[in-house]
Amino acid sequence: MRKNKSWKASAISRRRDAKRCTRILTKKKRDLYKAWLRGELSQHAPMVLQTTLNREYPTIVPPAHLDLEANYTATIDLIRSIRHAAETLSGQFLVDFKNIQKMSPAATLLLVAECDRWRQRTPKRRLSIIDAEKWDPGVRRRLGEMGFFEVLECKPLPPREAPNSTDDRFIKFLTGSRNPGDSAKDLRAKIDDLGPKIADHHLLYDGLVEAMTNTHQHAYKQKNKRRQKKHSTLQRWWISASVNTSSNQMTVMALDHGHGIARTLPRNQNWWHYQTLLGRFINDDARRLVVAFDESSQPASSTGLAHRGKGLRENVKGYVSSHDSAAKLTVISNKGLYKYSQDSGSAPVTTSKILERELPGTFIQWVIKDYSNERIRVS
Amino acid sequence: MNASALVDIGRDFSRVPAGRHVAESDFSGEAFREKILIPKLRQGGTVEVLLDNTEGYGSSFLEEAFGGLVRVGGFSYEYLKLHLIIVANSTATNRYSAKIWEYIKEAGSGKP
Repeated sequence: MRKNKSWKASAISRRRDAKRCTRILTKKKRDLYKAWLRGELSQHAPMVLQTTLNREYPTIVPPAHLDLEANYTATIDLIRSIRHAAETLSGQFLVDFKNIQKMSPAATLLLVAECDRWRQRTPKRRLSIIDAEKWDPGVRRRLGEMGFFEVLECKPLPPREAPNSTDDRFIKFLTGSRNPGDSAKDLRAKIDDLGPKIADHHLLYDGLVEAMTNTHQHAYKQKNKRRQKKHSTLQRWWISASVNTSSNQMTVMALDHGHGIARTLPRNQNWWHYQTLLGRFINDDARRLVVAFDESSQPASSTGLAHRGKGLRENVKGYVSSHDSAAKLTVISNKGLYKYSQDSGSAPVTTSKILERELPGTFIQWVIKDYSNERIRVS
Repeated sequence: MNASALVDIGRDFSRVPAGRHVAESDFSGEAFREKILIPKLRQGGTVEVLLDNTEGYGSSFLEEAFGGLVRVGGFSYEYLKLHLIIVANSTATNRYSAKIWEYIKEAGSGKP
């Protein structure tokens, strides 16, 4: 078959259009990057130009304290900035870790998971570390224990200080998308290795596997199957823990980068109508979380099936509510924050609120005091 | 009635059962129900299920494995009361036993 004139003309036109689109996109990216450098981009950590290895790089400046409780907004801005930069700057940027003085276990997991995602997105480019010896020793140790340098495939590994007896010890993160049972068991074994054994590990296992199963069932569910397959390597969960043997306190965390619990629960048609009308001015993420964890309401699941949606309240919350000792559950999903805590002898306290910034995905944290001496409440 | 069969989940299936469907885990509730539980129950005798010797059970696993017997497998609550025996020898695993019967009952009544 011969190619006729009109075919050639349309091919040339298509190519011209493609080039034009690329030009516009490049200009948009350039404009965005310039606005970021000028500090005009909201919900982003500051960016400066920094000369490293005889080349000028856009450099994200993290806040001094990374903490989801004390410095939530700045911490989320950093996480979102890293993701944005990884997607728009083709991975050619720096994050100045010298600025970080303090990191909470939750913020450390968020940061490590984001860098792991960055590595997954750009598999041909290796992430590298510069001037690690200038970082705060505590921050370097925490990141090292959490597996940060292994994510970066860093060789040789930067020096790591021995922890003090009062320091939190971190456990290397585990990630995956299937078979949550093995990872939950591994995490429990690693917690046991660091100090006293968990008194009732069944409850921890139940909560963890339900949090991870939720990721597969709801968090990354997409109507577009091709899109779901394309991003399948990023559709994972990350779990980790920290242990403080001097205070006998354990923190266990699970994170996913999915749609979020609050956004995946079914709503009635009226809500979508109001949302279309009022847009971003209405947000009920926190209320959705309360419903998801409240035993008195009907089980809520994104599937809409009556027999689903039990895992969050029975296992994820159940791990805290089954204890007589002090324990706390924190769930951040989208813009919603849900907290459930109880102490021995006092009634459980539930709080929820709308956050200033949206966490991309769902973060679940259990803080259990006296974890080696848990007294299980038999109901 | 045929002789009873013993299913030790930790020995015969997995020490790390988790998840609802096979897409989530090789050791999901659906896999346990289809590969082990239903074939044993179809033999007609009583089936004893030992819950000890595993890391634990999430609600998704238990609901799909046991609630699914009624919802998917077509067994009635009354039939299972006669032919299914849940054995839990420790305090930790004992609470799963009550949950299992709750899920079977709910699946039978069609209520959440």
